[in-house]
Amino acid sequence: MLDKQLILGVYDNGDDLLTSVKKLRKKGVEIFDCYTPYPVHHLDNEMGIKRSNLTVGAFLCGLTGFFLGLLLQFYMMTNFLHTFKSWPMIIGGKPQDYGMWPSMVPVTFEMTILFTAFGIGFLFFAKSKMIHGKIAQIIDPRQTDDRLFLAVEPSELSKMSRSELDSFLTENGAIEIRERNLDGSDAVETAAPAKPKAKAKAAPKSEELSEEQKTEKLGLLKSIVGEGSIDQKDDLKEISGVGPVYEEKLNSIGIFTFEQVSKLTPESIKAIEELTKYFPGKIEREDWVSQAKNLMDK
Amino acid sequence: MVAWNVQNVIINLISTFFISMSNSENKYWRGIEELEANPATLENISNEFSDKLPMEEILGDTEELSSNRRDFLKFFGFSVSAVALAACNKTPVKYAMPYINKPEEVTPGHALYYATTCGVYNEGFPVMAKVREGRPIKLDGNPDSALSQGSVNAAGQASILSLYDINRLPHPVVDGSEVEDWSEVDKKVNGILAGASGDVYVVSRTVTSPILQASIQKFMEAHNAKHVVYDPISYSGIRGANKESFGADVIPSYNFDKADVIVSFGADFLGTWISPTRFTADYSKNRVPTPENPEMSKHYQIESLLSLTGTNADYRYSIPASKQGKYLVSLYNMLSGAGGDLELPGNALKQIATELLAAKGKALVVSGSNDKSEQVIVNAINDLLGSYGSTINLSASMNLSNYDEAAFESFVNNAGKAGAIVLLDANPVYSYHNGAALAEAMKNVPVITTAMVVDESSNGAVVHAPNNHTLESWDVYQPMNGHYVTSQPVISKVFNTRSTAESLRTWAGEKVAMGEDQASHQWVVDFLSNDLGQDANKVFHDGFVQKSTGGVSSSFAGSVSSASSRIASNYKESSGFDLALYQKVGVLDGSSALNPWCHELPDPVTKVTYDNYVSISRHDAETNGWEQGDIVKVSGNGAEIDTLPLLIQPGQARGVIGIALGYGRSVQTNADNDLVDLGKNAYPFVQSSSTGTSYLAQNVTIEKVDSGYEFAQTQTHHMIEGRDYLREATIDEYKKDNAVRNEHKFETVSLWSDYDYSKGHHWAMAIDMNACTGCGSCVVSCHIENNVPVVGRKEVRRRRDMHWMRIDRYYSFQADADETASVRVGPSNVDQEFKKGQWSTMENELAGLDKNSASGDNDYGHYDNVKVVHQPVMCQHCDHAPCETVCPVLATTHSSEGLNQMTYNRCIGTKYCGNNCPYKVRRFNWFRYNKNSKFDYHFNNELGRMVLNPDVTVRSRGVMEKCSFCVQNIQMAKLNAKIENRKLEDGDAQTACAKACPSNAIVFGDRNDPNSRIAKMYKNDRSYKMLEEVGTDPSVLYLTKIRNRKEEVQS
Amino acid sequence: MFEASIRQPLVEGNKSIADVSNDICAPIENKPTKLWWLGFSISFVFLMVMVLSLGWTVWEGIGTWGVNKTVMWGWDITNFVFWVGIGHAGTLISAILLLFRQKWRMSINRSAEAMTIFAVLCAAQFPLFHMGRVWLAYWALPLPNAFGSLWVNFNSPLLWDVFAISTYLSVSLLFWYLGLIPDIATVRDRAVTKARKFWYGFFAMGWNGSARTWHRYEIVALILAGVSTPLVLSVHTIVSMDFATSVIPGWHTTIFPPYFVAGAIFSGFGMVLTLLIIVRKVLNLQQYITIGHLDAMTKVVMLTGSIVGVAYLTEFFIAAYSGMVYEQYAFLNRAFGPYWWAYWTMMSCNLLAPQVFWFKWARTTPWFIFMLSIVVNIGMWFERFVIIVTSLHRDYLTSSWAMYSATITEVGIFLGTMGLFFTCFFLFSKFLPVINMSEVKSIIKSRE
Repeated sequence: MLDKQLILGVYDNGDDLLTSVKKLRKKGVEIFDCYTPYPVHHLDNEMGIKRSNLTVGAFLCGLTGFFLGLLLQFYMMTNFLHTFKSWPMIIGGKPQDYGMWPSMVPVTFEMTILFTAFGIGFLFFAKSKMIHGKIAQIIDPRQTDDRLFLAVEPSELSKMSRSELDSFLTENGAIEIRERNLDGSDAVETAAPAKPKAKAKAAPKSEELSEEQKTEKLGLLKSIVGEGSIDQKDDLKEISGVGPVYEEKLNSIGIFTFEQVSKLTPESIKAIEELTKYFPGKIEREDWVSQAKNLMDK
Repeated sequence: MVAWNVQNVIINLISTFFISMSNSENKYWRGIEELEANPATLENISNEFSDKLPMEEILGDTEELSSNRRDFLKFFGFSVSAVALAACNKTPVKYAMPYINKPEEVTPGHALYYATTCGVYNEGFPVMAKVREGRPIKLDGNPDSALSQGSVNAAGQASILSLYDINRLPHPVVDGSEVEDWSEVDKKVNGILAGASGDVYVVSRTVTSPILQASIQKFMEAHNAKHVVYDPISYSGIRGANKESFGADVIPSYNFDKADVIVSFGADFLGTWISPTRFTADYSKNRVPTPENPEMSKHYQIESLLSLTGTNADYRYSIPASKQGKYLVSLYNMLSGAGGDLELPGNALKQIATELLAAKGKALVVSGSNDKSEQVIVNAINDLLGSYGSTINLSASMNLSNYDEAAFESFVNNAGKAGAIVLLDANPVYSYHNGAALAEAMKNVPVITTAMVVDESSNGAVVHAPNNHTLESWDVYQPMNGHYVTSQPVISKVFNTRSTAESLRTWAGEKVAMGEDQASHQWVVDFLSNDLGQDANKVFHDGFVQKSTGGVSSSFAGSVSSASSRIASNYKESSGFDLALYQKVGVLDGSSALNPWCHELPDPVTKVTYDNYVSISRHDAETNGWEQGDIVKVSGNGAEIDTLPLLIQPGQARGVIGIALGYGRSVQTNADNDLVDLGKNAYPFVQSSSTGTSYLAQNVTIEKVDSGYEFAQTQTHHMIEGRDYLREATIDEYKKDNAVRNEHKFETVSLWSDYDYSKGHHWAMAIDMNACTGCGSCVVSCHIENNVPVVGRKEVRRRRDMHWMRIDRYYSFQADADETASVRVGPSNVDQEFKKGQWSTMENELAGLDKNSASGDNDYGHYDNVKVVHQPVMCQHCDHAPCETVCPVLATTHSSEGLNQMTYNRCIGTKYCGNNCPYKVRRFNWFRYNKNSKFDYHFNNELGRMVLNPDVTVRSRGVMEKCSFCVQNIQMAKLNAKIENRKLEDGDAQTACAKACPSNAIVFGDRNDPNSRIAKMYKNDRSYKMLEEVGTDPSVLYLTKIRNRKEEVQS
Repeated sequence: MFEASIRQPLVEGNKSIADVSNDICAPIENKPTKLWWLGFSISFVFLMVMVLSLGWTVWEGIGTWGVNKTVMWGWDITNFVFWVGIGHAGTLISAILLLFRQKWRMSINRSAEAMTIFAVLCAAQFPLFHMGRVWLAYWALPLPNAFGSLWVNFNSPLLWDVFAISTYLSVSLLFWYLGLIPDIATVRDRAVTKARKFWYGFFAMGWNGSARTWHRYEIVALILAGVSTPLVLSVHTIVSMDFATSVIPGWHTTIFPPYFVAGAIFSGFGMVLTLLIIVRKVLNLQQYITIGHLDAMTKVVMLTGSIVGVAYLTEFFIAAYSGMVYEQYAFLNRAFGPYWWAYWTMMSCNLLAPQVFWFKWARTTPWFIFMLSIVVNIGMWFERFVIIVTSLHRDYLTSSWAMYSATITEVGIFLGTMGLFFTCFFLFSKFLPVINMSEVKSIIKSRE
């Protein structure tokens, strides 16, 4: 493992990394791993990591805690398993059988929580092979600081030539290309020359907007709805169908006010849908334009 | 198993560490302390429960071992006695088995009871001493004697500690140095007596022992000595009056049980007057109405201070002490048909006269005054009412005091010229009003004393020849005419002492058989068999013998007119205060100055411990701008006390202040505690002359010198705030409905099926608030029985007294407002109508009354009229105990017999149980109270710890404790019944409080036994459970207090 | 409910990812400032006061406190509930706000969680040392007894407390530590000294920021948040049951669980505000802990303060309505009895004072918020004092009524726990990143 040789794309932001990962996998190149100082959302999906079954483990741990808690109390406080006979107690006239269950609720609850939390904690450490004092496999000290790394195994070069890969990564925002071992030592040059790869498609797929297209669409949008700024922001969530997430999306493409929404035309709606990939038909269906007009009048 | 062993090791290490930390003091032998230091016990502590108890051997039935928890206590009791036995074997034989002839029946772990006496007033009070392994540890009343009727009062209970007093002289002292050999003492004494240039005086308290009397006689004959009697409390008034009226110089017996109407003029007969234990027992016999006989005596108390007796009266009137005689004359005149010139509010005196006449032959009038003229009037009244022969018995007279003021005064005047003074047990330097002059005179005279401690009078004596303690002596007393009480040693001598009788006869030149009181024993036996014609052994067994006495003529021959004219001429109008000097129930005349139990016992009325103080009426305090806790200087009649705190006492007459006697002792002591320099001596205020002694000083002035004194009170809130846990009704209401105030029974609902207590025993207690007088005997008894620590004044101030049972005392006040007054009550400013005479139990109503009193000048008239209830409270042993539920470690649980148990060694001290107790009866060991020089009471010295009850654990610090219903007695009773192969009978198991109660107000027993007294109490309509609505299901019943009054009690 | 995330940025000053690391790691990598030393020394002195006071208590006995036969709990349990209450905001901020995806939590949750742990540590001193025999405290654990199977009492709320507090402390510690691991790794990888490399390396557990680990990490964080939320609510509920299940008027109240939880959140946010206003000033983190954060938190304070206020009034109504004289008196006594001052301090600090947060100026002026947060802390301390002491000192039997006042030992212990708290906090601010760097980096990203 230690001498695993990796080709690394170095990024300085998560969006570029995410885009690169997405595109690389489209080209059939499997990503060995990414190393990021912060969790990049959707990266796991795009990398094709299977959802971990830690939740099942948590549930089982919780269940264990629950029953252990009950067992503990029944064992100690009632005649369950004939344990109470040696020291029979009368406690404030309280029952000494299952009738005391209300008294058991708090402890059972706490035991459930305790076992869930620690169970999942230890499962996590175990699955991630983490333990105190373990020497970290650090490729580059900045991977926990401000650089994001996309790692590809040299074996993947069978699907894409090294130079293709390099230029692909550079095109998608990588600021540097490196070769390193997993433990951070410089990679020994492996002689294996990259085999010619299947042709990479030159043009990006139609569903992916290029930067130019983006700028164009944004420009179009701006010309229709006008310039908005964060200072004039309305609470777009008041429009039925807009939640905090949608609102954020709208904000990110420069739509902040009811006035802007009320000015939307079918053309600009299409632009929004292409830009955000979020609202196929939703804006027209829920008639945001007239909703926004009403809200403006208030 | 491995884990358990590791745990044990850790526990052992930890506990060894802490124990070794606390084990720095040196120690040696003797009973309970051995128990504490026994390595096996230490291990038991660390193991929480001993795992090496010889239970299998004892019971032979291992199945029972694991059967139930009840047996645990049985085993525990065995283990305690086993350890005690082991401890005794190591002790020097002389101390461990201190019987002169070891009785066959001595079984370690078993208590033996011996009939003997205790001496609070030196009167020879018949008691049963409980002896464990040669140590008397408890005094209970001799149940057969008319004097004790099975109980001992608080001071008598406490007197056992004087046996184990570290301040006692361990050896005789000659010329300031201790000597071992009594022959040196005798040599010195003979030298003194031979060289005496003046008269030789023997000064003693009243001698009730014929043995001692004979010895004094022999001594007097040998040395031509004079015998003077001195008592701090004089009864010469009564004696003089009886001499004048009937020709008999006696203190008669009063039969309160035979009286239907009792009128007491300032006589605190339930607290301190003549024979309070017996009077309480008699009094309460006629105070408990039953459905069959719904009658009770009617008790009027007319007094200046609020006494314990006054708190129990049906009607109580406060009058200035100096006018008492005039009121008596008025009453006499009313009775005899002439009109009286003085009247009580509401023409009550007239009413009293009417009722007295109606109850002729069943009436009793007493007066606490020591004025002969007043007592003559009292005699005349009683004669008019036909009391002699029924409620007063002149022939069964009390040998309480033969104090002759004239004789003693001449002694004081001649003391300086005396050749030698032999002080027996009298302490006149302290308690004589002119003690300072006597002390000055005695300086130049060789003094020989037999006092057990170095007190004010014996300080500076040439020879100290310490007397035996009563419990170490053979003696016989005659406290009541014809009633002889024997005293036998119940412990071998603790110190190198000799009985006074033997000393006197030795000094008289008689050859006295030495060693272990052989001589005394012989004299007592001779007296019993020769003089009384009794079988001495039988008398020792019974403890007393009753001989018939000759009758005394009861034809009244006194002169009422001369007495009333003397009263009239003695009465002086004064601008100052009347100072009434009185005794407190625990401290009495001050002879038990070094007894912490007496001082830790709160005064039954004020609930103050450790202090004497100036009590004053609210009106007088407000008029002069004084507050409670102000420190005042009291002066008058040539005496002065520079600093005493002021206490506002409801019910006290205006113009009267009260100061308790018995404080301000300066006894040489080896302890450093709150009993040193306690309070101020008020004896100098006593008005004494050759004709008599008066405990009333007139024209006394008070001057405020400081403020901010904090009383050590065990109760600081005195109103019940209209709550339901205290119920009272009038006799008329009771006659109509036996369940009055008690009609409403709570329906308590349980969420689950209760534990079934119907099998075996179910212990319960009932307290009849009609019988209870609040005397505090039970409190001290419990204190002794259960090894309750003494905590001192500072801790009481911080509300940390450790008493397992307390007597709550509540006041209710009568509105003195106009016919109807509207007062603003409480924070919500609700207007409330108050009718004159209506009673209030709520603080905020009282505040309203203050503002609206009739004259509008802060008259505080309602403070003059006060009703008092005493309510003893101990652990209620709730079957649904809130304390048990909340203990995290199961240190307090219920037994299958309905006892709420406290497992001290399981307790970790979270105090949650104490908080969750609605009755606040749980006591926490805030400090280590034993072997701790910060609490230098009897727990801090080897000798004082000998009084500990080996059946009851001494609690360590940090654990909770509380009333156990004296579970050790219950277990003992059960074991005894088992040994005797019989069923447990009602009364076999008794709690210390129930045993000590003179009025039988406390009934303890098994409610599952249908014939027991307690089971009957459950059917009594008056019985209710305190705070029943909280749902705790307590095992203690209270019985509604019935007053023989006319009006509605509760508003 | 909260919409300020767009109006104002969560992190001000156009920070880059590298800036975040540099800013937040600065206190760890540089020598402590004079201000830090001053604060730490003072805290440490107070910590020593606690050690001495507790030592004295253990040596002499609980008698060194002012508690008595009537009021058996005084400052001890007051302080216990006070600290436990403070300990609530941390996990609440982390867990509930994580579940609700409130991003404004990110720059405050680390220190809030630290505060939780330190507060619970302080709180734990009191139930421990209020025991008469603290050396036997382990008997409260369900351990087999030396002789036989004598166990603990599961009916006792105090035992529930043992389970609740220890669970809460350990789960909070786990949650906090889990959040710290990526940041510890950052410090490790930036480290220049060997010692720092070793120790941070030891605690980073080999973290390397792998996407696979992040994937699991996020699941774990979510589950822990999911279980922590009911845990937080349960802990103060159980603490409230110490009182609610008793029979003492003023304690025996069914409203206690929600009321205590609201009060805990209230006091917790109060304490978070106090701390963060100091921290952002002392450690120069104004751009991470912005006025927007303060604004949001003050709104929570206002809301919970009002809830608590309503509970106070409800108690009065229920007491009046109950028809039980003891209950009625207990509440009248609170307001008008000898401890009236405590009651009215509580009322004015908890119900009235937070109402100023209706005004925007009050919500956005740090010094004013600081003052108010102190007032809230005082008010909540008095709330516990009122509940515990004024209920106990006059309960059923009037003969037992007594007053209680703390001794110097008790005051010393309380001030000492303040010392413990701040000592821990100063050490934390020196040795660990006070702001969750990885989360803050992720929100910087989202703004680009």
